[in-house]
Amino acid sequence: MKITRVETIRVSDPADVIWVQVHTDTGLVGLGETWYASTTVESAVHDHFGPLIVGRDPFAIERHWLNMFRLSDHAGYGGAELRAISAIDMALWDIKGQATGVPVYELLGGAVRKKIRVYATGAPYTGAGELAKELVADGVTAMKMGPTIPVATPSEGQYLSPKDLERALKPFRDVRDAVGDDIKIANDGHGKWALPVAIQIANAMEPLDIMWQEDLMPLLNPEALRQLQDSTSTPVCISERLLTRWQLRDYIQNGAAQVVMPDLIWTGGISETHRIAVLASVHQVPVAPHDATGPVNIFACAHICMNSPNAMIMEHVRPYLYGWYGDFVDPLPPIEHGWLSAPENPGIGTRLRSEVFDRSDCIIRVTTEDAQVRGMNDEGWSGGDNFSDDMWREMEEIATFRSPSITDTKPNTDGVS
Amino acid sequence: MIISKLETIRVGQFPDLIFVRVHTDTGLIGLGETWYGASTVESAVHDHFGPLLIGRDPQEIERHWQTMFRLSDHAGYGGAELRAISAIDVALWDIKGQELGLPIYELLGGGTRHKIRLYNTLGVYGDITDGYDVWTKPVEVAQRLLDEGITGMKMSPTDFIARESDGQLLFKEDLEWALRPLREIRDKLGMEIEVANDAHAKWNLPNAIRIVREMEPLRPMWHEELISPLNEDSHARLQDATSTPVAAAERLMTRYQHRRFIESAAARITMPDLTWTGGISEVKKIGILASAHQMPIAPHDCVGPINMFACAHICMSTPNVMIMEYNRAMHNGWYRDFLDTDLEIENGYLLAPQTPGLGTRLKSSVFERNDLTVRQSSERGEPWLMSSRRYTYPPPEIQVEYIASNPRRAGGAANINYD
Repeated sequence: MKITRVETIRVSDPADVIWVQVHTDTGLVGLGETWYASTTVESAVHDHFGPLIVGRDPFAIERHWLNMFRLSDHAGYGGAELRAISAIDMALWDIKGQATGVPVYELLGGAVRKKIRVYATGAPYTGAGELAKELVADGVTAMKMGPTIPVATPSEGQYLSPKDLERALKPFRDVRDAVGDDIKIANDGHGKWALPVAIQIANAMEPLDIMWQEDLMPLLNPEALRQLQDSTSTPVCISERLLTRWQLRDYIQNGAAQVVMPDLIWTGGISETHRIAVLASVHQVPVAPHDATGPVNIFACAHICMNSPNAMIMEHVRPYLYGWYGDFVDPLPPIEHGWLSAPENPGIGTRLRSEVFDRSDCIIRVTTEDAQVRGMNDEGWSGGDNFSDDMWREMEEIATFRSPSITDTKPNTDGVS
Repeated sequence: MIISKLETIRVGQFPDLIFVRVHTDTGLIGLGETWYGASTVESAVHDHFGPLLIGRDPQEIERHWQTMFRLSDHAGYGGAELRAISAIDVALWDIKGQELGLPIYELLGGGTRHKIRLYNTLGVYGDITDGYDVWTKPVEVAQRLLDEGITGMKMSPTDFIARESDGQLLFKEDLEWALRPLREIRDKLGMEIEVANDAHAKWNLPNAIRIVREMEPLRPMWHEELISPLNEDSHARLQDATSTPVAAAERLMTRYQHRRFIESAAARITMPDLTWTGGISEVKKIGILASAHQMPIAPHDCVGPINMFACAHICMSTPNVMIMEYNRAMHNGWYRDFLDTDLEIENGYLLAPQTPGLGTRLKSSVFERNDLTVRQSSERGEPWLMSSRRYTYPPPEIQVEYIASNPRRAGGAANINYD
């Protein structure tokens, strides 16, 4: 099988979401997704990674991931490129699942469970208690909100007055008043606070029995986050903003993170989130995949959750699930009464609806097999330019002598030189 | 003064190169640059940071850096967005220097020196074939540099032999073959010339340790990126295995990643790339951080012509700068096709730029090239990078009600908010 074209699809609203479809010569199409700065991701897909993978075998996911990552890491990995890699990776897993006729979690090693508990993100400032009642009635047993975020603005997170702290705690108190201990509540701080204020908030919330404290501080210093975790009995949850196993490792290994929350479509796709879950398991901490983005991410995370013994709970945003997701994918993520079930279809488990392509605001860009990688040529800087033809030949001979099948074993998808 | 327009300039000849020009209503134009994945950077500049900056005061560099960084960090910082921030940051410093009539290094605290020693990274461009020649006539290449007053060079002898096993397996005969040129230089020229070893992160840890041990008698200036700087503990093991300093690393992003390597003694030389890691503002901070640990910085420069100027200002104003990278092949080969005024190099030293701001402009002939892609934006707006507010802030009417009800809030926030 061979990749014939890579396609991106985005719309004006929501403007953050971008889908990647990887087409093959067998007619199978893999679907991937990412979120945030979609135009920049679109450029990374078509100008850099698309030309690298077209014409190649979509099954060699590990090799493609490595090549794309290394290419982007030449100038420091992260940002839009890593989101592009995440979406492409997801699409490749989708292809492999469809080609083999099984859901992706089967390819990751098989299921340890058939459903995972979900929590609902987002609550109104007034009426959090009412929402909690609704959730509990529907069978949802956990929720997340971020009422400390707006009160961080005046001081940029450097100072919190007792009055503002009380104001931020009010929705939590309302929930406890409304439903008692029937629901777990997590607090999300969106990386707004300095260390002493973060500790102050975590301590003030302890009597409210918080599920976790998430991103109270920016994720820029593992030792500072470790101090936060050391100062509270509430688990500290870290973090959708950390990219790849290498960044998460710092926080897992030093004990700063008692809950690991990778964002699959930012941190490197299904491949990397799977590796992160394994790493977390070695340190006996759970993973709780981040999701507040597009509809396909939940499917991808579902496969991780079904397969990973240390998956804790899965995020979802109900207004999205029951709102705009239905305009774009079919089927919808299988979430009901507080549980996400294992997707049953082969591959990722959902497809973009055909109406998406008919929308007047739909922007499609395609990379075909005749595309060239423009720039981003690591070989040019790593010495490839500095080797004469004779040297290449000499080296090939050494290599061939050593391994008769060198043409197969060479990283034949590096395609950038 | 306000920012009126952002402009990016790319050329087909160098698809990684992108210039950013920040225009102001006073007619002053700031120039910045970055390198790698240029079309993706272009999108980040116009679609995300442009709408944020248009109409604002270009002199608030610190605030703009912070805001751009935070917006990009919403989904994990790095990559194209950080390169865009780097280029914009340089352009803003250029504007401030021109406005105040001073070279940028004066604004960074003033000169601590008037020239900085260069080392040459061997390259191949046009008539200059140092990168090829070093394999067949290494002594001649080294002598060529010494004749110009350049006393250090950098080469990548082991990249090629890493290819076969993807860095996982190292054969002694391959290493011997790769080190031939350096041995020859040491045999004929002794320690006349410093040689740094750069491996572009091609090796795993045990092979990297093997290489630094084998190279110990050759006394390299430093080892650079023998392994990828993904794990500072592994990097510290590499540094512990050799008396030669290990440098880290152009692909570390911002002071936050550099800190890990500096504080854990995972490297002895800090090598930020200004056009990747966050611009002049961030490299200045990285230099200060390194100084607190009594470590030098050696700015990475193997990209475009503007970076050389930006690094020159860092080098003049930062006491703990060790040496600056220079690519003779590119400087002589094509930088001058773009630069209006070039930097002065004298006997192996780069002299301080003396004109206000960055010290150069793009040549007018650049704008007549037929491989040119120019994109401009002048719309101020709410970039949807800020869309996180949609789901983290209360609805506008509740915000207004709260602020009105709170006497402390009535005075307004102390910070320059982007609301």
